Amino acid sequence: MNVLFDVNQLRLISPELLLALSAVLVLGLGTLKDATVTKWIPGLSILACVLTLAALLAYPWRLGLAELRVPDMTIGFNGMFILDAFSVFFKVVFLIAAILTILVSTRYLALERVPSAEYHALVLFSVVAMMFMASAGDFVTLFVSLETMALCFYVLVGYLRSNRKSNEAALKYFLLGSFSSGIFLYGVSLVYATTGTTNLGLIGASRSVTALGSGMAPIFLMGVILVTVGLGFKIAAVPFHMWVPDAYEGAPTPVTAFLSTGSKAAAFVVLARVFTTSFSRVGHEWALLLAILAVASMTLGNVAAILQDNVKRMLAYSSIAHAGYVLMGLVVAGLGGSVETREWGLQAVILYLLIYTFVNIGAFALVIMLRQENVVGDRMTDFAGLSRRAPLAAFAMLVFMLSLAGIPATAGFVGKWYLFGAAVKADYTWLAVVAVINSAISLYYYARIVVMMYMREPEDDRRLAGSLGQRVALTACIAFTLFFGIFPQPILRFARTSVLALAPWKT
Amino acid sequence: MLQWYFDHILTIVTFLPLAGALALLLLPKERTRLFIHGATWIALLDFFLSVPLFFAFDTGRGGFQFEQKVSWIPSIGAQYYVGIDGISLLLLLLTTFLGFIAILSSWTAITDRVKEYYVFMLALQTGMLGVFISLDFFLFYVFWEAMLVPMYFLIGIWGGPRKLYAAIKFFLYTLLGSVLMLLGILALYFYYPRIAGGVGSFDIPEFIRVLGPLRNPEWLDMQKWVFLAFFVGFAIKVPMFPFHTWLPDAHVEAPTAGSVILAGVLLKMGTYGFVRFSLPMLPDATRHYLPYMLALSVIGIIYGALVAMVQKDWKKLVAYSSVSHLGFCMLGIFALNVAGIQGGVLQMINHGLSTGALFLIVGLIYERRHTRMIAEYGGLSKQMPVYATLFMIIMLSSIGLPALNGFIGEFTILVGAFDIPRQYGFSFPWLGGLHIGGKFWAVCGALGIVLGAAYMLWLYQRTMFGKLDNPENAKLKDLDFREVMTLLPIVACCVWIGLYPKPMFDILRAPVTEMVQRMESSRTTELAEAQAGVAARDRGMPGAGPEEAAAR
Repeated sequence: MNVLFDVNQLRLISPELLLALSAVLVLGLGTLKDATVTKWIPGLSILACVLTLAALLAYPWRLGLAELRVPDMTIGFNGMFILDAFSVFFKVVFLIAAILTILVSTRYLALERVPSAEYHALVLFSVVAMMFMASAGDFVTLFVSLETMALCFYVLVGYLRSNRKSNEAALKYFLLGSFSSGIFLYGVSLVYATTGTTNLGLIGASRSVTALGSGMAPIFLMGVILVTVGLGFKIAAVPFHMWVPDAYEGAPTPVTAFLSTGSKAAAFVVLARVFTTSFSRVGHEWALLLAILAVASMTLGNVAAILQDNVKRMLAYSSIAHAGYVLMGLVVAGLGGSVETREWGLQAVILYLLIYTFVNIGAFALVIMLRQENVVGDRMTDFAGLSRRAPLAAFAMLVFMLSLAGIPATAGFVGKWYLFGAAVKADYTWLAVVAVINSAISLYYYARIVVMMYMREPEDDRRLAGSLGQRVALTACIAFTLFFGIFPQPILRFARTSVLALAPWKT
Repeated sequence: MLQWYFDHILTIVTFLPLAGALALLLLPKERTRLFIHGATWIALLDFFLSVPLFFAFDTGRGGFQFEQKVSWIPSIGAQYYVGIDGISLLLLLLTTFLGFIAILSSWTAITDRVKEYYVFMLALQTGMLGVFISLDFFLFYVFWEAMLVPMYFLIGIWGGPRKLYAAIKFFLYTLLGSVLMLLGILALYFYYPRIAGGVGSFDIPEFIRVLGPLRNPEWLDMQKWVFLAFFVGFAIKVPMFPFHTWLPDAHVEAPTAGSVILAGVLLKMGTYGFVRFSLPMLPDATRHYLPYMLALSVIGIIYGALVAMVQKDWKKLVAYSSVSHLGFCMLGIFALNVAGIQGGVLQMINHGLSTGALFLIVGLIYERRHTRMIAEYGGLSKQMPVYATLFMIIMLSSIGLPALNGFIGEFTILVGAFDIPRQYGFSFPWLGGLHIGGKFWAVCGALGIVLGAAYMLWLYQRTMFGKLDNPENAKLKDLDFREVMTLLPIVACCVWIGLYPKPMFDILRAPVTEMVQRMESSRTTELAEAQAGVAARDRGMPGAGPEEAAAR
């Protein structure tokens, strides 16, 4: 373990390396300015993601998922990098989110007349960063990958250079984002000051006990709080949500879709790993903190979403509310009385993020498809009479809205069922009651879109002209939502196996 | 073949409409006649497929029959587990019957977006049937909530002028109740393994068997919370006073067939929930909250009747009469004795038939005149004798005239209600020891019948009798064959139940007796424990009674 660099360990990060190289390749191809070459860039990016996915799954496939649970086999680079089933689960989520995002951007980029190569390279780079976030075993790797992802997104949000809204969104996101990174880093430094290490496992294992036992406890707790603030910004939890509506509205819609799923899931994986590994000894303290964030996010997100007339803004507030729901699972993971309860909470979190990825990208895909030559397509009224103009698209949007509202027979219900169940199981009934009431409120604004689509006359008879990629993405999302809404067993098992890998309280 | 059919009959009957809806989806939407006939035939076929249940059902046997159990989501212990007892059998038959009638009644009423309409009607049918046959809580919840979606569309697309408001109010109101009920289900789900061991389960018969008689202080305390969670879900659906405000809006704005289904079947889900879950699973909490339940039922009866009396809108009058009649069902169910529960369940069927028919009556005249104001009508019996005759029979059934079904139900409920023990009531020591309870509830119920007769007869008088003074009404055509056929089967059922209700009572006897016995046995244990506690206190042994144990 004392070898500074072991070539064999490159095997651990081979999927990430593959993806990073592909991103560089895509970037290089973009400089050719040759239309015959650049038109293959989206396909190449998707191919890269698919190959990465295969490489990613090949490793645990060969070892067997059960083997992954042995920590010694999977920690590489002096504890900087952890490859376990938990990280694999999230890497799958990121790659799927990226594939769907690239698919739905196909026609959009041409319509907006922006270059395609840099866009795809940035998406791929951000996925590389997310994958490292999921595997980070040390605050240093964590911070570097977090910043890499954030930088990619700063550029992507402002990708429509000639669009004022996009510029404004990027500036806001950048200013608040760098501020939150600073806070996060300060929190990390406080934790380092009290424990003397940046390794997540070591902080949790022994040093934090020493820190908590001595007079350093308040400083350690301050560090925990600041880390929470920094990550709270990334997951878009109230009160760190100010940037969300503007950034989501101004960003190119595919980027919004990716931001609300990939980036959010990446921040959640960090939250889950850091809090359950490093800060598990102060579980009760941060769980209460997260519970407050959860209630605030759900309530404010849902109430504010009711007032929106712009669909992207509405989905932004809805995404804040959903961060609140997911936080509930983390609260239980930190607080639960028994191992079983904590695992349930964590399982609810990762399951929900997987489902949310499909459902939310699906919903945004519809907004993207409404984008026409001279229509932005993100107003509520753009959905008017969609069931006449495009019955299948309207049906898809209906399913996504019902799924976001958590109506049974959709995947969203399964996710919410686990989250509410977590709160009930941990005897946090008040939190569950707040959550279900919020869930009922949320139906109101999701139903507004349904009303627009099914109960209003169309303003014109524009049809939807989706590209092949967009249709494929939409079909995948709708199939996922409906199939796993009725037969959720496979994803439940996948989530369960992944959670068992990350169970520091077991040892 | 026949054996296979009976093994899967519930699944076939439940999912046939959904399969039909999916098949209709594939057809081009211009061929409207195809959808009308297709949906009608599917609904009729579904009804005929469900009829053998009535004959094959073994009335002597308690427990559930025609059971089918398939593993569904092993990770959480959810199963596809269906089966029926006498109570669900009657409701299932009512659903297939009214489902057909409702579709038959929409032939001419629905001219816009025909394809979607029939698809939603058939999907709704599957959802409702699923609720009544589910014996797995997870499955039950899926049907319970998924069913709201087609109903929301039926009101929202084909409804009256305020349809959007009514539709979202209906959806939000019922969803709020259901999600709170979901918390109750989750609480049971996590509590059950602590008692019975193993991983979680949603098995309803097991819950009843294990949790019903359980006398553990922690559970007795928890029961009360679970009861309240269930209560919100079911009471909104019934609807019990004061949760009824969504009902007048939804009923009035819904298209005729929607109102028929709403009044005939949807409301029954609430009462069914109380009978199936609250009473047998949470007997102690039920008794604990009984005075409040009885009071709300009685308030519903009287309040619904009084508000119905002052309505100017024909359909709204019928809607408020539902509040009153459902209060009756609740009164019978919360009498907690055999007669009361039997009457309550039978009255659910009766109300489904007679109020469903009343909505059809309103719908038929609305289709002709496009107004529901009672003042617009008068003397219709001269112009439309067939219509007036059928309306009269149904109106008399609704007010409980002997020889018609309403009488049987209301009479049995009152028999049960007179047996409510005196202790289930409210005492007011500062009013000279006034005690409201026991027979008082039955007296209020009887008063409700009188009021019911008043508003119904008055409605009939104002619309059917008198001079035909509105020239618009002079041109009205009487019912054609199809329209008669929508009402005639209902009238036949009303007369059948009114003259010979024995088959119904036979079907209900076994499950109801079983339920009452369970509740009685848990009550005797409670009494014995209470006495033991008192005795222990008397002997000066602190903390031996169940109350103290719970407090600790």
